Amino acid sequence: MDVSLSLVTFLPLLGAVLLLLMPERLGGQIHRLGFLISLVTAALSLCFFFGFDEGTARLQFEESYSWIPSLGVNFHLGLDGISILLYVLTAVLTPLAILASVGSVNRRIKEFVSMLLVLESFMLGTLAAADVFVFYVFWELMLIPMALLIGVWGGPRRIYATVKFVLFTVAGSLPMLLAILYLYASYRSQGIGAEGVSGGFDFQSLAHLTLTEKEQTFLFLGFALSFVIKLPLFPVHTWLPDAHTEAPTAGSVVLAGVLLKMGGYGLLRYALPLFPLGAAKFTPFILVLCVIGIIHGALVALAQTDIKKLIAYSSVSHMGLVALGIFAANEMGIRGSIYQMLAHGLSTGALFLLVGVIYERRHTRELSEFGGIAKVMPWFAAVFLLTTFASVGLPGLCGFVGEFLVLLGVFAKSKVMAALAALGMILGAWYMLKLVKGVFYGELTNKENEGLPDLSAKEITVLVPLVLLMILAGVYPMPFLNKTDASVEALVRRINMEVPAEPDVSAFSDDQGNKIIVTGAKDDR
Amino acid sequence: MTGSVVESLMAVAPALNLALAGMAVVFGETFIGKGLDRRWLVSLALLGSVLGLLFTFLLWEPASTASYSVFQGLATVDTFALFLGGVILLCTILTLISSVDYLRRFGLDRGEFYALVLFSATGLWVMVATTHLFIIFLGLEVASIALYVLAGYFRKRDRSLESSLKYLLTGAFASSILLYGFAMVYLATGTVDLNGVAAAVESGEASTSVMLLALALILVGLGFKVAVVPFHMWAPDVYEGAPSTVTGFMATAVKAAGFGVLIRVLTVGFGSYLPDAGTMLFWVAIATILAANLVAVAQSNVKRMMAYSSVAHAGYAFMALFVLTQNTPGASGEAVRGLLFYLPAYAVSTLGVFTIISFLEDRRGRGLELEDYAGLYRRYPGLSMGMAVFILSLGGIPPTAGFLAKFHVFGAVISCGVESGSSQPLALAVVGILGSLIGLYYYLRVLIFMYMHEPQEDDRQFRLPALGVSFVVLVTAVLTLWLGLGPAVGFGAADILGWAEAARP
Repeated sequence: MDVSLSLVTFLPLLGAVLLLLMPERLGGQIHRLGFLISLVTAALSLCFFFGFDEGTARLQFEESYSWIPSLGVNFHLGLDGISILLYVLTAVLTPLAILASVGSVNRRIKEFVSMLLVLESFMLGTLAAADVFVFYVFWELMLIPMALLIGVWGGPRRIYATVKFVLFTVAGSLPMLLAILYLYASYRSQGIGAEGVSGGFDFQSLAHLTLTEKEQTFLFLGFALSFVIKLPLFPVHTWLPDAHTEAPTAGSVVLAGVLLKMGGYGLLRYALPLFPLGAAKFTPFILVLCVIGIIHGALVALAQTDIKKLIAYSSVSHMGLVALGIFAANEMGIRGSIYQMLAHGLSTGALFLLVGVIYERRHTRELSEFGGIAKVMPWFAAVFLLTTFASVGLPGLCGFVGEFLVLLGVFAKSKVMAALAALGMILGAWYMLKLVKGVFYGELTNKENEGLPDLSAKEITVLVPLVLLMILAGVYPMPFLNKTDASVEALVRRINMEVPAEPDVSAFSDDQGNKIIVTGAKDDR
Repeated sequence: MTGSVVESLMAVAPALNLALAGMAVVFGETFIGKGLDRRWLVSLALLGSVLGLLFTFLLWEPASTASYSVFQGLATVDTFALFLGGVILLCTILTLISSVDYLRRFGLDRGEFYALVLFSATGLWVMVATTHLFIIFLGLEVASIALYVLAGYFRKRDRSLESSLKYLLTGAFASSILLYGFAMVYLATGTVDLNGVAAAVESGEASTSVMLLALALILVGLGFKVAVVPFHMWAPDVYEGAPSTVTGFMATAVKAAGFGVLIRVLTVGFGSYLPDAGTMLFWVAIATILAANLVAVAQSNVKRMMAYSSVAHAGYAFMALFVLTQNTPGASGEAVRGLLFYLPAYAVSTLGVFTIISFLEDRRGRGLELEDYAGLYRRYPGLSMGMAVFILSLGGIPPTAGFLAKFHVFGAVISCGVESGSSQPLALAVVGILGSLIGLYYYLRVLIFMYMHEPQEDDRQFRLPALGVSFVVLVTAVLTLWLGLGPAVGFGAADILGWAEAARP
């Protein structure tokens, strides 16, 4: 299975260019071709999934090309246990999103499908990047197709939502740029790396930097702000409900399914391992924000009357849990977080698809318009119910594994936080079941709902893979969970080894035998 | 150095080509209607500037250590001069091409326009290719006087005349301040050659107070020319009133030359006095970045918005100049390289924008408001995609030239902070980032109008973009992407970062 990582990463982009060159009148054909390209990408990405060596924390399927020699930037790609699951998830969700948009998007189809493919490429690139510069470039690039998806094909308030989305994201990523530049400057001034500046952006070599606690604090802020906005964490989450409500179905699926996970991924890849001292300083504060986010998101979801908004706020709540697991900073919590990201990608992706199904039929998402739909759309109701259960974490479905591990991890860190987070989970079951009850059960009161057709063949094709994955990931999580083992173990060692009990000068060795000096006190310039 | 006249003339061949072509165009204009088509004049003007660019490539010898001084030290044709001269020539060529259709639509397609652009370019080229203060002033005046006329080229439009007058008054004011600064240098050191000035400064002969006064006056004079806050007041009115392609030329070629002179004067002449200018440059950069970006948000006229945007970019460039004053040799090198990359990166994107602006402007001067750009993607998908590339580049989004340029300049500022251990450069970088964030908001608005708003119902006819317009947009868009990715994809000799590196004075 010798598939090149860069090939798979850029395949959708090449496909998008091909699509853009085709004449507009082909319409449906273009849609099909786009689907085919993303399907091939998904199939190829499975090669990485099955070819992945679970025994090592090192990067696999590595590729490195010199990109900007004068800066020492290498186009360096690779996957490890932290990125592999999200990489495959991205590749699998995109064809489903494209398929779901057949028929529902009728305007500028060519551009729409191309944008989805371009977005896929950039997301894959973000996950595979092993060089901070490359990562940053992909990170910023993701913004453009997503903004266009919301702004061109979105609902009535799309422009407001787009501007908010872009400004929030950029407000996070610009400080990250400064932090990256600072890392690069320190890398050179410390003269690490015998071959001059080469590799000055490689995150593996950046890990050997000596940074004072003060520096780590600011650098952590620079990186983490960007990631918690994307995640999104409580006070900076307000862009998400707007973006979700206005985005077209396929956009919402990708946004909830993958884009949000980039925040969690970034925290795990950069913010925590590169600046453990800085992270430790902010952890108590962030844990509180996570719990506020979990409960706030759940309570606000409870009050929503728009189905899509309700699911958007449930995302805020669930991603709060992901952040909680990450900042618990132990193996259990981090593995749970990664798993929860996977599970949330599957279940929330499916939920947005399902909302798209009903919106296409009724062109409204108001809860009060519905009731008793289960009578006319039994299959739809069944799939929706199953997805809901997966989302609230019913044992036997994907949501349970992640939530359980996260709660275990947090319990080891702080019992109060774990208890509050569990409260959030209960609220989660409440609002989701309220949603199901309101839409599907009771009397069929609204006459307009009487003749609604059940799931079409296309919709079944889209949903079946997700349902199967949700069940598989719930019943037999090991093939997924095992992939993360070695990398998470190394990550946790890295995070915790460098945090000394006293903020004092002390030295540690990492697993390659390199000396890491942690200087805590001599930073009061 | 033998200093033979032929050798000297060969060294300044790019400027010579521009000047000769300009004169030929003026003479040719008198034969129009007597068997000479005006297209020949445009071709002649283009030929002159393309030949100039060609000579630039021929003269380019980055490894050569020979003395570049010609005409008894009056001209210094080093890689620095050739690099910036090349940028100026590129801007000239693109301006000439995009002006043809523009002027023809307004019925003002006359030879003198092209001649004036060429003369102005000659002056700008001379400015960067000398260490002699009087020659700098000479070049500046040649360039400026041609530009005063060009700004008022639309004689029947009040705004164009207003633009010309404002530019003339402030320009003359700035020139005299600059000249006064040069006179102070002469007073303190007894020479007007920057190398001589440097020697006098090093030996301690120069009077400190007079030199500092000179430095301040020169910074103010050139600050007017490159339009930084608080010397930017003229820019929005002048940019708005001048013919759009002329505005593009002013925002790119003139700035390139202005910053070229600033780098030259600061790095060569003032040596040990530089740290004293640090505070001034620091506050000027901060004021420029914040004020220009904030005011740009409030603009509804695209040309005015671009004027403030160009002021803001001058602010980012001033961040690099600030680094030069900080006694951090490593970071200073990076800053000069970063700035040298910034100028062409900014120039290609800005020229692309102004070409599109000039195309959309109609005879009555309409088509310049943001609302006029609504739904443009439907009418002109090609131009809109070009505009997207330029706007993203100006906003600093990868993988465009603007991103890599910002990356270099901000990188230099941060290295300066790490190298010197001072927090001042870091504060500057934070302000720069804040400015970029505000900047992104108004840049984004253009794209939102073009792509996300419905087109307006109006009487404006669809016009097929003229060949020249399409060509310039295509070339600048490709260059913008290539400068963002190009050093990257490894085009060997064409590695512009390497050029910028080689061009450090």
